[in-house]
Amino acid sequence: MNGFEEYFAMGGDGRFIWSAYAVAALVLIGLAVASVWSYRARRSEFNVLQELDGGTPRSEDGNP
Amino acid sequence: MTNFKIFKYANPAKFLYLCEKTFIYLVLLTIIFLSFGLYQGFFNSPEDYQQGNLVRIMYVHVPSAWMALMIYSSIAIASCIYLINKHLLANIFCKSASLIGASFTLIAIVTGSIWGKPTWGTWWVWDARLTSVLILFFLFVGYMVLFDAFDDPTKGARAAGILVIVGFVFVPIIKFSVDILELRTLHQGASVSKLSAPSVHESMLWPLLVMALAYAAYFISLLLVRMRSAILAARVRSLRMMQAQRASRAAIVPERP
Repeated sequence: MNGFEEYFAMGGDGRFIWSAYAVAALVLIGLAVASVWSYRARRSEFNVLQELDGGTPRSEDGNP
Repeated sequence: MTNFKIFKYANPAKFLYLCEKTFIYLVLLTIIFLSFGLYQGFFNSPEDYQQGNLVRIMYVHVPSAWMALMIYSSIAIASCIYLINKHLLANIFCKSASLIGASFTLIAIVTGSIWGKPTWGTWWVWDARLTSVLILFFLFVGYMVLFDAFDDPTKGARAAGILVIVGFVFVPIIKFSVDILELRTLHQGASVSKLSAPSVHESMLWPLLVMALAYAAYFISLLLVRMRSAILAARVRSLRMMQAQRASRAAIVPERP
C-alpha cells in the first residue's frame, strides 16, 4: 500500500498530474455521454415521427 | 426546399451502413489504444531528468493539441468542399466535428496550464503559443455560434464556413509559433525544445504516439455518432415539414366528398 501511495504522490507532483488527467477524462467522457444521449433522443423522435407518417394515409392528390 | 435537399443528400445509405459496420471496431480500437497508451505513459516510461513525473502530463496534453489543429484543418477543408460543391455530408461533418475540436482545444489549454504552474511557475502567460491556441478555441466557439445563428441553416453554414476558412491563417501560426519562428515564449524553453531536438527518447515517444492514436480513434467514433445524430435531425426536420405541408394543404383544400 505504501508503494501505491508513493506512486500516487508522483514525487510531490501528483496533484498536478492527476488533475490534468481528470480534466481530460471529464471532458472526453462528458462529450461522449452527451453525444450518445442526443443521438438516442433524435432516434426516438425520428421513430415516433415515422410511425406517425406511416399511420396517416399518404395524400395521393398532387403530393410533390 | 433546402430541407428536402438535405433529406436527399444526407441520407447516403452507404455512409450509414459504414457507420454501423465500423463503429464497434472503432470503439474497441479506442479502448485498446487508450489502455496501452496509459499503461506505457504511467508504468513503462521514465521520469524526465528535469521535470520528473510532471512529464507524464505530456501524454494527455500534446495529443489533444495535435487533435485540435487536425480537426480545425479538416473543418476548413470540408467547409471549402461545402462552399464549392454544396455537398451536404461535408456540412454535417463540419457541424459534428466542431464541438469535438473545441473540447480537445479546451483540454490542451487546461492541461497545459496545469503543467505550466509547477514547471514555469505560472498558470498562464500571454505568449505566442498560448495566445494563439486560445484564439483557436474562440474560433471554434465562434464557429459553432455562427452556425446556429441564422433561421436559414444554409446561411449559417455558409457564414461559419467563411469564418473557419479565414481563421485557417492561425493554424500555421500556432504550429510554428514554437518550432520555427522562434518567438519568445515560455513554452519553447520549457518543453518543446525537447521535441524539436531529437532528444525525446523512444520510451517517451511511444506512449505519446499511442495516446495520439487513441485520441484519433475516439474522435472518429464520436464523429460517427454525432454525424448520425445530425442526419437524423435533418430527417426529422424534413418529416416535420412534410407533415406540416400536408396539414396546411388539407386545411386549404377541403377534402372531396
